[in-house]
Amino acid sequence: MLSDLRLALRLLLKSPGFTLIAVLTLGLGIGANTAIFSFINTFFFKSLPFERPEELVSAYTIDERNPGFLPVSPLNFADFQEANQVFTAMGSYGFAPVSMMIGPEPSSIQCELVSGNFFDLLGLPPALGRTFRPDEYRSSGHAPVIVLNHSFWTTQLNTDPGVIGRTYLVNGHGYTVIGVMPAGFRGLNTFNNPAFWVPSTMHDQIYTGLLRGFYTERRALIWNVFARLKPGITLAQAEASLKPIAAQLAQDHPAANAGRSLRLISVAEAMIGPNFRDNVVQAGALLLSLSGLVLLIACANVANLLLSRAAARQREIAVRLAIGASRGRLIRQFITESVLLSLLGGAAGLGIAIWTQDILWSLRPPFLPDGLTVSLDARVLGFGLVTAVVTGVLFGLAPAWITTRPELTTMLKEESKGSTPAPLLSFRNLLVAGQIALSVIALVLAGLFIRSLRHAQQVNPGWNTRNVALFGVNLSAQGYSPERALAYYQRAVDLVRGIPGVTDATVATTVLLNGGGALRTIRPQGPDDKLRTTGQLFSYGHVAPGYFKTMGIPFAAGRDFTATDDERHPLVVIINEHLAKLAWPGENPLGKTVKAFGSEDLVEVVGVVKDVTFDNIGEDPKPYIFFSIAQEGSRGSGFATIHVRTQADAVALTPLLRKQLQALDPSLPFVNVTTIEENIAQGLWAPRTGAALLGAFGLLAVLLASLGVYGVMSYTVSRRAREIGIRMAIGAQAGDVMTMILHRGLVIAVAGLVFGLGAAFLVARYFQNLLIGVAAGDPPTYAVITVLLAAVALLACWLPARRATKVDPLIALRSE
Amino acid sequence: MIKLSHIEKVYPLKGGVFYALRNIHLEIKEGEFVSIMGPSGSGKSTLLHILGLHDSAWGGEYFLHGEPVHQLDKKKRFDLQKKHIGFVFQSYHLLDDLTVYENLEIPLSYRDIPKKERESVVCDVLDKFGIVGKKDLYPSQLSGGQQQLVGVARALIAKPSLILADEPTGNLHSDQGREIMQLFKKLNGDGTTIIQVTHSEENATYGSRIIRLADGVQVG
Ligand SMILES: Nc1ncnc2c1ncn2[C@@H]1O[C@H](COP(=O)(O)OP(=O)(O)O)[C@@H](O)[C@H]1O
Ligand SMILES: [Mg+2]
Repeated sequence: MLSDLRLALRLLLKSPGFTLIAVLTLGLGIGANTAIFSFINTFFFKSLPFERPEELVSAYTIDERNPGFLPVSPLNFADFQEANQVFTAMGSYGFAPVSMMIGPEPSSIQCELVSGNFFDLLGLPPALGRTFRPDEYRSSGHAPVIVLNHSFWTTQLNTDPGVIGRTYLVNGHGYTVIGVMPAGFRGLNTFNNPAFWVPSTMHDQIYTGLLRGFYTERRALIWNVFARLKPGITLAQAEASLKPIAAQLAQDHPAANAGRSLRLISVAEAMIGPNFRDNVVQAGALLLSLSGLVLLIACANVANLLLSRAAARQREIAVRLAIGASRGRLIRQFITESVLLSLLGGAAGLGIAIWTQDILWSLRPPFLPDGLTVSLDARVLGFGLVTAVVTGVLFGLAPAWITTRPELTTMLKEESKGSTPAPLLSFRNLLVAGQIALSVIALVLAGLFIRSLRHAQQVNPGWNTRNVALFGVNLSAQGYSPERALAYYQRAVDLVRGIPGVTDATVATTVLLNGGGALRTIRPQGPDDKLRTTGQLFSYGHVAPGYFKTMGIPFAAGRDFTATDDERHPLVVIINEHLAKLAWPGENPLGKTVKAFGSEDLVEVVGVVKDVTFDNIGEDPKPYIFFSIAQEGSRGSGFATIHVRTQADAVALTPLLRKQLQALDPSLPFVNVTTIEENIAQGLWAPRTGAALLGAFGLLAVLLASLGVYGVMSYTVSRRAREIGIRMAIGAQAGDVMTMILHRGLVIAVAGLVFGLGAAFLVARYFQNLLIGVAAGDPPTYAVITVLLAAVALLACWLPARRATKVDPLIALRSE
Repeated sequence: MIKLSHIEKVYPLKGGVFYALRNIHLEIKEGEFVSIMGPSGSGKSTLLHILGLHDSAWGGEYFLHGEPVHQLDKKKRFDLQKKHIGFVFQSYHLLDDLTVYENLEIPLSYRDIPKKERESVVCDVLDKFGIVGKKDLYPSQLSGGQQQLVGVARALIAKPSLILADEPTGNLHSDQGREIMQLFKKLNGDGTTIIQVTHSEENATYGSRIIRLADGVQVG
């Protein structure tokens, strides 16, 4: 074994060019995979820093009428906590936007309101100070203490060493820092990054606006719940034992809980959000399969290089076989060599993975905050190592098998003619055809995602998204009453309308094309019983009169809100056509009524707007409902956004607008100061990143595959030099030789292409739902890639073919 | 038919040049059967490749059928070669992956002769050489003599006026060699000019003239 290794090393050093190319090729393949895996590892496999994490489960509300895993209402949480027999304890967390005085100006930040036992239940000690004590969270309102997120401490508080014991104003009340959590801990959701954690007993001060009312509303699903299983209880047993409790709760509170139950998921799985998980898994699968393709192509290349080299060693191998070497022994030697090669490639790949990590990280989704560390832990290293070894055996086995075939001993007897072209169906040609097929798959996927991105960027949402500056405010967090909030909005709109360059302004609680906002259960009083009594969750917003005009959303029927649609007048809503059709098929929706969540008041439909793209580019038409902001002032006084339409570039006018608006209330922090276009660009993160990554992989794949074609054709030409010489001696012209070589190469390429196109279609169909406005069989993509690949293959064949025409018959024939 | 004057061939070597051929003057008439003899390394093959227009890096003057080869460009030389010259090699140089029939056909296909016509020409030649029965065999299935027979047939197939053979019997038994020589004699009788390189005095007797080379110089 050691002598095998020594020999392998000597052989690799003897041909440094070959070694370098092989190591680089493998490095690219293994590097791409390791880089992708390091991310997947971070999301899926990172072991949780909690005590006995396998005992931890997350609980979600399941609702017959609404798909997905939903949070739990605080009241239901309390009842489950009381009644269950299967958990040692249950805990909760829910996000809360607050205003915090860090410097002289208030900042708008996100924190998490958590059950007092949050940290104890996880078994997670703080890095500094302490976490909540039971006496602090037994009774309501007596624990104005917070535990900081490490990244908030380092980035916002400059790693203040004396932070423990310091008091900050949160929503106008003093809160004392008692601890700082260890770096990397961000709570129980990978995608959240709260500034600090505060005991839920403080909900009255922390929750503002809507959330405050929701705290005592059994239907309001605002908390994420987790629990620790009692020893010996399985997740399935626990879930089964919760069903009767859920049924009892549904019976006791039918308005809130009818059709709702509880579902458990292990915390490890719930970390990336159970609703997203499928998408994240699919995206991860897509990336891994693509990088896997690249690796396979790299393997094929190296296998081909090894084959060519082995061909040159055939005489040596024949001699070895003749003097009694066993075939297994020779194969072992070959495999030692290829595994050594792939380990070197793996080392190069690790370098590439580390180097590309920052680039990959910069492509992260906007909702992924900084501070999530993607590290090369033992698992990633192990992945790289296993990949390298498997790769080495994979690409080493075939050449080893083929070159040690015993028939080759005949080589000893006969003079090697060496003028036969390899048969068309040789392993080598199959490899090349396979490489081309794989790169077609990679390219087609890349092409589809690029087309999908372009489609998404060009899609017309049905309203005017250009030049709208956005200023988010949270007035109730600032202590505004609903009346004062409405007055503030009016003044803000009037103020900015007077600024030169502003064409219009309005206020709404939602921002369109921002990924989707809040949902509200609405019961349209139409023919559908279930809709009428139980209702369904619809996207909604509260908007000011003139909102639709400002945004350019066209009316299909009815009227806009007016200044008189306030608390003193009958409640009215505007719906979109989709909702109208859903609730009152075939009827005129104007004059029909709905009931909103938490109220038995009838609300009249006074207007219908067209089905435009509301929340996400590429979304299917969906129901949407708008309330008059002046009629539900308590809702409107929470988060709201001032929309300013400008004549020219909204970004350019933003500083001036901000200055003027700030003057209305110098202590009011603005959040999410941005533009609609910026939001759209952010929303296209997934298609953009997908297109960029897949494009990079596609290019890498083609590059490697064309190298493969080139290598094989070059080898063919050198192998056939004598034959070409004879042909030229008996009258073949350059053109004849060129055609002969090209023909051979192109037959292989076309075979790979045809197979690849078919396979690409099947693969693309699997990822269809990640594509926007592009079919898996999109003809232009396939056409362009066919042409592109044909051109690349032609070039890769043409260079060796041209060299073939330069064969000097004199030299080729001088073998006599 | 062939007129050479002051033909020189040099190979650049480390520390100077090596004269493979020096000051060769030669005239060969239509219908001659010439043997080139000389010790190994004396320049016989080199001369043959110059005559056969494979080599173009030499000095002097060469007229073939009155055409000044030394003034022609690559393309013209190639056309001239295609039209007038057929080659026979010591180690046959048949294409291993083609059958006998296909080996004979391929020079014709390089000369853009239509398929129909190729068929009849090849059949004629197969017939003439008595190898009809072997037409579907591959070179590896033939004996050396048979392979060289095909080699000669291939050289002849495009009806050249000049056949150049570099030690055509070098790899054959004497019986087989004699057979090839008799074939040459017959072809020569039919009007084909033949120039062969040979080591065998016996083979040379089939020809009408001997040119002797030593160290790149004509010695007889
Ligand atoms: N490519 C080459 N470079 C240098 N010397 C060469 C080359 N080809 C042939 N020679 C030399 O030229 C001389 C004549 O060679 P050749 O014509 O093949 O001899 P022969 O009479 O045996 O056929 C020999 O000494 C040979 O070594
Ligand atoms: Mg010679």
